Amino acid sequence: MFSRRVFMVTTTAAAVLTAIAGQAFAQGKPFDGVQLSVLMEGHPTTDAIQKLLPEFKELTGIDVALEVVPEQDITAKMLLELSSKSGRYDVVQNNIIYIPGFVKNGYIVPLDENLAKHKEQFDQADFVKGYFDTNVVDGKIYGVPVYGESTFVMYRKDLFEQHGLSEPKTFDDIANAAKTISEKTNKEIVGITMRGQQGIQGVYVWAAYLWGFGGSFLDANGKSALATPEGIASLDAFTKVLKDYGPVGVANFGWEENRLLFQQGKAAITLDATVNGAYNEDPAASSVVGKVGYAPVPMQSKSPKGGSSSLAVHSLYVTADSQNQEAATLFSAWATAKEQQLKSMASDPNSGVTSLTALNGEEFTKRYGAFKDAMIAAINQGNPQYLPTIDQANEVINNTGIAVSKALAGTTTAAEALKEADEVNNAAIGR
Amino acid sequence: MTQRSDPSRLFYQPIVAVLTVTSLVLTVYVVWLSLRDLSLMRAGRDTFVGFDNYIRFFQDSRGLWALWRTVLFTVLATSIEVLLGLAIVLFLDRHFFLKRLVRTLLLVPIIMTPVVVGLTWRFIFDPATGMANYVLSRLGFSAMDWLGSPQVAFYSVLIADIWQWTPFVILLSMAALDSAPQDPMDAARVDGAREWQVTWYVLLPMLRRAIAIVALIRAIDSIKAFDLFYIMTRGGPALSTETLNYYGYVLAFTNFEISYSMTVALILTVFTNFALLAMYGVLFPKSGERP
Amino acid sequence: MIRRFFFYVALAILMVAVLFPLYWVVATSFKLPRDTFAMPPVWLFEPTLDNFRKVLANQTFIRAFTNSFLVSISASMIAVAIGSLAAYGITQQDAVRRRGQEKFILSLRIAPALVFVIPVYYFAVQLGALNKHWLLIGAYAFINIPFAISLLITFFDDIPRELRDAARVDGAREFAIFWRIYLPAAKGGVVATLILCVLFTWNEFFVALTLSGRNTQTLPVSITSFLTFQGIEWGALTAAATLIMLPMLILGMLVQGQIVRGMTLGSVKG
Repeated sequence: MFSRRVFMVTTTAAAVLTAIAGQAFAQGKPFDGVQLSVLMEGHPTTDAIQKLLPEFKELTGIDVALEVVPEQDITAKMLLELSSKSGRYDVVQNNIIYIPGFVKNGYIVPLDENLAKHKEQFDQADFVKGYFDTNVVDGKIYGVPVYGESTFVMYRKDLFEQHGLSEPKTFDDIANAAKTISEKTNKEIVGITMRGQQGIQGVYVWAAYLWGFGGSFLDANGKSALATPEGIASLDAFTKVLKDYGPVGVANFGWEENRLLFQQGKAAITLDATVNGAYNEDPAASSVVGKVGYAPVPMQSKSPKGGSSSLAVHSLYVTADSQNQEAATLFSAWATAKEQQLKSMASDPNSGVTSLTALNGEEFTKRYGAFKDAMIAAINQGNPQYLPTIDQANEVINNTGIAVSKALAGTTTAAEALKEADEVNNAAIGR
Repeated sequence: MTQRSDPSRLFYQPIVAVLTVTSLVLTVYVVWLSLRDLSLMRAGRDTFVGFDNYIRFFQDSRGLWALWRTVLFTVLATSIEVLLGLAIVLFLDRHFFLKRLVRTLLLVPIIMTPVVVGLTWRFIFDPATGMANYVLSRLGFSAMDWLGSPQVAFYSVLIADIWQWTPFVILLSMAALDSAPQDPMDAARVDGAREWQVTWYVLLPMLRRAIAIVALIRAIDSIKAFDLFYIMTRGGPALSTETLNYYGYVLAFTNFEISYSMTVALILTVFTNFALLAMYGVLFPKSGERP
Repeated sequence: MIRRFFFYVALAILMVAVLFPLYWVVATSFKLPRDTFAMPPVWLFEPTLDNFRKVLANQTFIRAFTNSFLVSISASMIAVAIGSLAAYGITQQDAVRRRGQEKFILSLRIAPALVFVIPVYYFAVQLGALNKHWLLIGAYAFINIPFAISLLITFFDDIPRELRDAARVDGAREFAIFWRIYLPAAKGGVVATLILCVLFTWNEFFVALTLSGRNTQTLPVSITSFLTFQGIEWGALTAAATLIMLPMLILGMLVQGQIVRGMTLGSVKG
């Protein structure tokens, strides 16, 4: 039988507890005091996220220490930490080509459960399907896409018009146009500029030629097969056009040097990431606003093994040795949520948004209308196998990069360089 | 064992013991690693492979080329630094206004942080905006791709190294000259020897020991050179500036082949020891002579 | 007369070659972006402190500066403390024993840092020490000790044996001799060794690159962060470089007499 006293105590206790719980929810800081360590690449998306971090802390109480590293260094750095289980990072960012290797080695964890707990930040339907699907392995979600891009050809409409050239549709067109402009302007304007730096930089751009000529990285058995007639022809074409009509120092050009040269109006053509469009059209950074035409990467082969434009998706992953996996997942979801993506476009030249809301929104068209269609077309034709997605991806890309560099420098012929790369790659794959 | 030296031994024996033990432990661990096939991409799945890594190295053209580049760099850097340094020392061997200041200023390249030296030279060698090409253009030559051409990049890094370390040779030789007795030279002059003869037959032999020491030290440091290669060219373009030490670094930190990297490092150490012994033999032919 | 003129001209050319890179770095740090990349280069320009402001506002840089300071001085003090004890002990030995010890110390200089760094890295990971200052301090102390010993041996050798013998006759114990006679007598040498250790550690790159964590990065490593994906920010980079070099240039000038001896481990008195 309930005595009145017990009843009073119980209801008071319940009321107090509810009030406290209500306070906690009202403050909304379930992760107060948690510290996350995040590793991301240097990119406008990262800049935008960095600026929004105070908001994240307000919202969740989580303190984020963001470390930014150049793209060519980030994989080595991350692999070192992950494989030695140092627990140094909770969240890492990288290209999705590394997902199979990371999953196999147990470096990253599936996010499904934790994402389900934070539906307010994570809306799967909002992501570009092509981007999102690359993150799913064995039916589980392993990463959240933070930026996506493809590649296309950018050319100076004004210069082309001036010299009677039309939009380049094949690699030969490109070489022709580069030759014409280089000669007619007495090499004052560089005919064409592309990344030539040894490593992923050069490989990323040369791969357009590789696939476009009908070659591929691997054969049907998963072995390195760069030195096919198509592959050799593609490397010859790539190096020839750069040697003859490219800028001085192109062998050291990474993404930034290449982009800057074109942005400053000193080159007539470039083949590079779609994100460059945002820089080209930004009056604060570019002297070629409104003068750039955007064309798809040519496909010159009659029997291609895959598309010639990339489908580069970079995602955020949660590491297996993170002590705060739920908080880390929350951060990843927040960083890629539609609100943040919309804001990122206002603060940085970020055309690599992965949110459909952002992509189809007014802001995007206003800023990036000039190349939006070309970019979306490129993404739709993007080749998910543009770069090899095997475990040894890092080493294979580096070896291939050496081959490209050697051919570009002329220290070996394209055929020799690619054969050598195949040998070393297969040794690595076999190990 | 006299009573006198006993207590003083305690001053150094502990630390020498610690250094010995640590070195031994490190060496054993590294050798052990080199006999296995540890790779960070296959963490925890390494096995014993005996001398396979060593055999692999001698069939590894990239590694052998890296070794060659190391030899080339060491020989060129050391000999140019010594010869140029000597020439400048002889040039400066007289009393002149501001000599003290000049000696002080010669320290600057040595003190500059190697990373900063690399970045500075990278700036100077920039094809579009660097001083090097500017000077070339004023002299009527066309722009050179200092760091982007595999034929040139190696020598560009060499230039930066020579710039940084020749003053070291200069200062050292100057110090040796300062403590060199004047009498033999004056005597030679009195005997009617011409100035160049005095220099060649009297002065230089007196500097022999100092030169030998600095050559030895520069050689060892050149074999291990890393900073400039990392900052200026990252071993590129087309591997043209990849020395063996850099290759070891790439193996460990880019390819994650820890065992093979340690093998390369050990081979480099053995090679350095041989070079050291060889130089010792050539430079200090009298057996038992202490440097 | 003409010979002297040519001499000074040649000397001037030499000095320009030696000092130009330093001048270029410092000058560029005061230039506006448009002057930095101006071709042909501008010799007279409107100076600005913007680059320095940017660098000094950069938290990473400030932290790196503190780290370099802390690590260099701590490691050097430890190395000199232990090194001076060891050097004293070794200089009291007979020639044969001495040579053995000295050869051993010299041999530690041969191996590339790679051999040392990989095992230490793994060790550090196990201990969770990668972001701790003591890891770097310990590593640098370990590397500097042989250097300090070799150098201090040469300074202690300068001290006349009679001082020690006289003290022994008076019945002094070893440590007292060390503390009251040798150290004060070699004070200049000890300070020079300390400064040279600081110089070496401050400028060191490879060990810092591999063994430092986000919070313990030293200056040479953090300067590479100015090589961002935006392209190299030369203005900020040269400002940072100037700030990195400044303390060392000052210190270097203080020990200029001893640097040569230091670099050759005292084999030639400088």
